[in-house]
Amino acid sequence: MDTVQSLLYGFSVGLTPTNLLYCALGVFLGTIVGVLPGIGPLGGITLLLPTTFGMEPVSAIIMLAGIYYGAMYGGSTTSVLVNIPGEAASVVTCFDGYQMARKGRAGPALSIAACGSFIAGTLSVLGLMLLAPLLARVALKFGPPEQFSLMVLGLIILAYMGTGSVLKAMMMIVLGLSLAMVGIDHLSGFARFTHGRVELGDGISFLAVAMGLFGVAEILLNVEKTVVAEVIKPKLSTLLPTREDWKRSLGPIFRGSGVGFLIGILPGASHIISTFVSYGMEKRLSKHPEEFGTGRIEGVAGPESANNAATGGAMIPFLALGIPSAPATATMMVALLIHGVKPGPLLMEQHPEVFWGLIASMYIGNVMLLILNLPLVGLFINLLRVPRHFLYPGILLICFVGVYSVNLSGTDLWIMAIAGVAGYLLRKAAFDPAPIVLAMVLGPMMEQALRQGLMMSKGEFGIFLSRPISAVMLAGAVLLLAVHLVGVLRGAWTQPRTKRAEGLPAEGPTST
Amino acid sequence: MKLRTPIVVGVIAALTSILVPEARAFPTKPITLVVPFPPGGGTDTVGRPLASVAHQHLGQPMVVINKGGGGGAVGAQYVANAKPDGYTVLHAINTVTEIPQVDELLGRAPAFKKEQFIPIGQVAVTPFAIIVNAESRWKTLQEFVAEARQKPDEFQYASAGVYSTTHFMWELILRATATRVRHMPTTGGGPIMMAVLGKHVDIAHCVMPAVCAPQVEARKIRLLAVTSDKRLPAYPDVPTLKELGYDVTHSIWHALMVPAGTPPEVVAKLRQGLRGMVEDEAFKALMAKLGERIQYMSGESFEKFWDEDYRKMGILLRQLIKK
Repeated sequence: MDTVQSLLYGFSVGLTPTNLLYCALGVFLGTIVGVLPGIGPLGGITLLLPTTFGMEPVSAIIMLAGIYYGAMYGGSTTSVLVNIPGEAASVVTCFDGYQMARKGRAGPALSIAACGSFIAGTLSVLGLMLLAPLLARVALKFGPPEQFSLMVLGLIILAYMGTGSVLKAMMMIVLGLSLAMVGIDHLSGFARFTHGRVELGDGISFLAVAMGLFGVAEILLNVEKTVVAEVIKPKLSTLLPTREDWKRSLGPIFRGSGVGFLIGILPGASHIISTFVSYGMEKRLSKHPEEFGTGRIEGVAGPESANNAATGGAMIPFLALGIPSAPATATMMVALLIHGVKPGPLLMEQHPEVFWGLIASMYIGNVMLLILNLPLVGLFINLLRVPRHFLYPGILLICFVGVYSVNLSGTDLWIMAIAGVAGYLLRKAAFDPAPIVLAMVLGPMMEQALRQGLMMSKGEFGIFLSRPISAVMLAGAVLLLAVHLVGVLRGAWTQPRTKRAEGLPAEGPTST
Repeated sequence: MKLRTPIVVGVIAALTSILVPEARAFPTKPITLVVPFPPGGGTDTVGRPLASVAHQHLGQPMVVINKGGGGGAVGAQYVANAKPDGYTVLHAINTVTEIPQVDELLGRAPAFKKEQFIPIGQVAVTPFAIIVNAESRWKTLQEFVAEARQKPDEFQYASAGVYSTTHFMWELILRATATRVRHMPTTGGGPIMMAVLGKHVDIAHCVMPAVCAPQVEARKIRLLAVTSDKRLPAYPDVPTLKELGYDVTHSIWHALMVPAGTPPEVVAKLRQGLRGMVEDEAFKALMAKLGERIQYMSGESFEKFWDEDYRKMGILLRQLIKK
């Protein structure tokens, strides 16, 4: 009752012409930022922050939040069409999205991504509205040991969900974690593995590696087979998802929304983790896990919903505690601080217009995004009509310009080129390079959490098992590995010798 | 004479535009302000309002980027090695004094050197507060000190990183209070507050008042002391460390710096621009809302201050590290 009244009040704030305009502007810019590889929501928010200083605090936060969740809509576009993630949260969308595009089903992939994003976005605002104070307290329980265990579990799920062998995925994860160690150690300030090169002080650019492994490698692979000039011609009739697509996507969308929202609350790169947890879950639940990676619509619907829901979750620590857990929300907090609105536990009481106005604007913004993005599907899909010998040099150019524009570093270009060749070779050897990229994002945070956890316990590893949340997550990781190992062993035993199977549950994964 | 001055200036400007086009034109594109800490921390909340008024005084916007890590080393090193064209400016704080000397004392290759920077000027000075979770049993700093003396290495404080300025501040406090408290480095003010609220550490500090105030108001944290030399007007009940008998004062100075080798005209332009920025009413209003104290010092005066600060800190660091 109280909530309904507050929400109505929020809509009275959010529906003023000025705020509607800023909301529209925010989600529009967010979509653009999401579509363009190289510039993510953080970059967009940061660039526009100074323009908000003359606005009302509500308008400022409405616009900046619009960019944040709007970017999650656009991110899938390049993943699906050209296999280059628009930002890190859309890496997973490449797996099945791009395969769908190759089968001429880019339209349904993009449409379902937009609809899933809408449903997830709306649900997460609902969750934010009803559960914020409660969940904020849960987020505080996530100290370094819990964060570390969560990332261990995340990486195991990542290995598990891959399209090929778990062992190969593990190798890629370790490679990614190793690459993540290059650079100045964030806890001690020591330079590691930089070989005296200042450019490497900041670490190996994750963006350069991602663009190389996905963009450049994809082009190299395609150049090989240009002889078979299979052009994907999208027909207008196939733009929208079929009834069957919808039937298969609804489950993943709702599950993705839940997973994304809950993981989004946790500090760090949670919107990225949420995508592969969602993908892993869908693959596990599917009756046809072997078809994942070949263009299953569930593989697009789940993760794309999850990353949107995660933005709603990420607002919780920021709005309920006044502690931003991700750089994007931190920048939004600054926008409020500068207006003298201090986000903190009392925000809801002291500035209800900000809190409820923002909530209402997020409902409105998600509707706007859906209206904006569905017609864009028809527009973007035309990209596939461009003959490949024009498209590929163009993509290559965008990759190089995009990577260079971030740090203006020539080293990054070399890293991308090397990653491109490495990606090509890895794909030839049937290695999926996605875990490298995701491990590189998580690596620094995971290492930091591990070391901080050990500092808390005076070096005792027991702390990861004695704290319940951490222990549960580690147990989950071990269980997943055990289930997998049993599956492998059973496969190895049953095939050559038929008998001697152990009496363990018959739910081992189908691929090894 | 008066009439001619603009013409002379015009001619000189036209000539320099031919001879040194970049300098005359400076700035022709947005300037990057590198904040060497994660967003939302105490440095960020001063850097962003400052950058917001840059356009009127420099003719180009200032874009803030956060390069956190290494207690400020990552961002400072980035600027030290950036192209000295005035387009990459460091939002420096005390760490720029400390890091190179620590590197030297530990015998490792310095991330950057003091000589690699030219100061543009000081913007503000920010004190810290010593805080505990509001549910903590310690109502005063003396209570904590008394218990920590009995149980050495039992409790844990959070800093913004190993050999960061707050790490040194804590070392000074621990010496002054004759306690041994374990150290948990994090990467900045946001994570530190999270650790206090989540009770993952026992005691910590926070920047006054931007990060502290909302949590104090909501009774989530308790202020035990402030690190400034005088009590803060907004918190007249909170004692200074000195009053409690611990002879430590420590505040963060905020100054802008550019890489050495930046052309003098560009430095002059930036210094002039900064003076305009700190006197900008909009900036003053923003800082007042944040509760931050503007304390402007020109580039020239700051150079002298910095030399002295560097020397004093050097003596202290030698004592701390070679203890």
